Amino acid sequence: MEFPRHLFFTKDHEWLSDDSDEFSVGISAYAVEQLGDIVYLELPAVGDNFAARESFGTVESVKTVSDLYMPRNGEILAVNEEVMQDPEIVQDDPYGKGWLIKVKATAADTGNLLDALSYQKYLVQEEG
Amino acid sequence: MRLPLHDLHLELGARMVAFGDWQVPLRYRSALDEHRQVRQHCGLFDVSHMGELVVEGKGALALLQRLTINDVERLQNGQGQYTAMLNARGGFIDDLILYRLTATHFLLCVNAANTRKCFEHISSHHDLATTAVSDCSQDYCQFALQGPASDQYLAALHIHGDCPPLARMGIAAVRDSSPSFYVARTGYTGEHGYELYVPRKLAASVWQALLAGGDELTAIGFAARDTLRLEACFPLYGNDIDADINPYEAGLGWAVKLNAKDFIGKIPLLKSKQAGRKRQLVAFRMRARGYPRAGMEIVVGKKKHGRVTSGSILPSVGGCGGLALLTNMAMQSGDEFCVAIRGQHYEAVIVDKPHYKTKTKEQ
Repeated sequence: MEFPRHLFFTKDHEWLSDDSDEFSVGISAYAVEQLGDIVYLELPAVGDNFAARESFGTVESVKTVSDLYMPRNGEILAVNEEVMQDPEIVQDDPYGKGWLIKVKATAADTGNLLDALSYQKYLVQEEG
Repeated sequence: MRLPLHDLHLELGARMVAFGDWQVPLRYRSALDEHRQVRQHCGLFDVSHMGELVVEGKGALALLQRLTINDVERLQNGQGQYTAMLNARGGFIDDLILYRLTATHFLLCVNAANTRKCFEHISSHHDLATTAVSDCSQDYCQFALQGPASDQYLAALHIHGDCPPLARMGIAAVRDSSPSFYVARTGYTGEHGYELYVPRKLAASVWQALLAGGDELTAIGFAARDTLRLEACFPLYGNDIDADINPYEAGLGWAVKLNAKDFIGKIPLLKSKQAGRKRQLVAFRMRARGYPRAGMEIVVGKKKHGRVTSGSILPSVGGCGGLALLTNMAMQSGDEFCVAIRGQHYEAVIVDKPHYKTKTKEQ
């Protein structure tokens, strides 16, 4: 499983493209593996505002449905229409074409973000 | 249980999932691409989990008349019909395709999970002196070749010479073997196509010969099979129909031939018809957002009006939708309701069945 070093992660298994005030968000390869086959994504509208850890959408897989959690307080700048049409892209390329939203942070706090190594360590602990 | 061609599916890159007692290929590549492939060209499905029962003997026709809702007398040799076996309450034991091979030899294609139940039901009613019932499911693999270009791939199998042009629901034996190899012009996708009853020992070679018939023919998994059948509004036993729903409620009254004969389940059906239906199976589409799943409640305001029986994306239609069993008979196409998805209400509208009608002309 791959966790690109230039990305940041959350314990909710979202990734962020960087730790500046504008960033893309997707779900990690671990989340994709846990979900299984993704069949549908529900994503917010451009302009919507969410607080950190608030649900900004859902991802439906053959097995289950999971909430997507906002990694930081922010406003939605863009939504990946392509993955809404074809959610399997998220499975095939979770860190590239499978990005979900672009966000403009509305607060400076980045305290809960993990770098790739810390996220991997966290996964190892969780898997116990 | 594993399909006889399990390893071939793995070689093709299939993701296998549990479907009832069976491990089946969910998809080989993108399920959406597979769906479109069948609508636009042709795809090959391994549906060997399905059950095949044979009823033979001079009492076979009379027995099947008594056990099924459609009129078996209407069938000529080489013709099939969609029908069902009902319990004493008028609910479905199973829906099935019944083929008349000869006047004394009938093939029944039943749902995998119901094979045992159907076999036992038939066995409990048959007269040993005049009929024999056998479960041939172990002897057969079943493949479905579906899509507008199906004919060219069937021809590539070099059985076409032996196979007369089939009318819809027609069946023919294409190879003299024991058991026989049958091709039927039927399907579960809403497209033109065929279902092949392939003797198990020929199965791997037939599967490979079909796929070798052209690069554009690919294997299709159960994810696409489900979205294809749902767009065509073909019911799935266990979801849309079951032992507690009758054919009228399911919108399958066209298959019931009340005036032709007596059959098990007829009296409760007659009563249901006279009293008026209490429930209806309708097609619906989500207005904008929300992914409907089986079991979710249908609500209008605060009142419950039924439940979703099947739901998914509808790739050839756009958006999401499915089938719902409504307890309100006043609702009809164009009426709106909401689907309760994890506590939130999402708008949906009732539409005419089917969701999708093939663009390909049936001959």
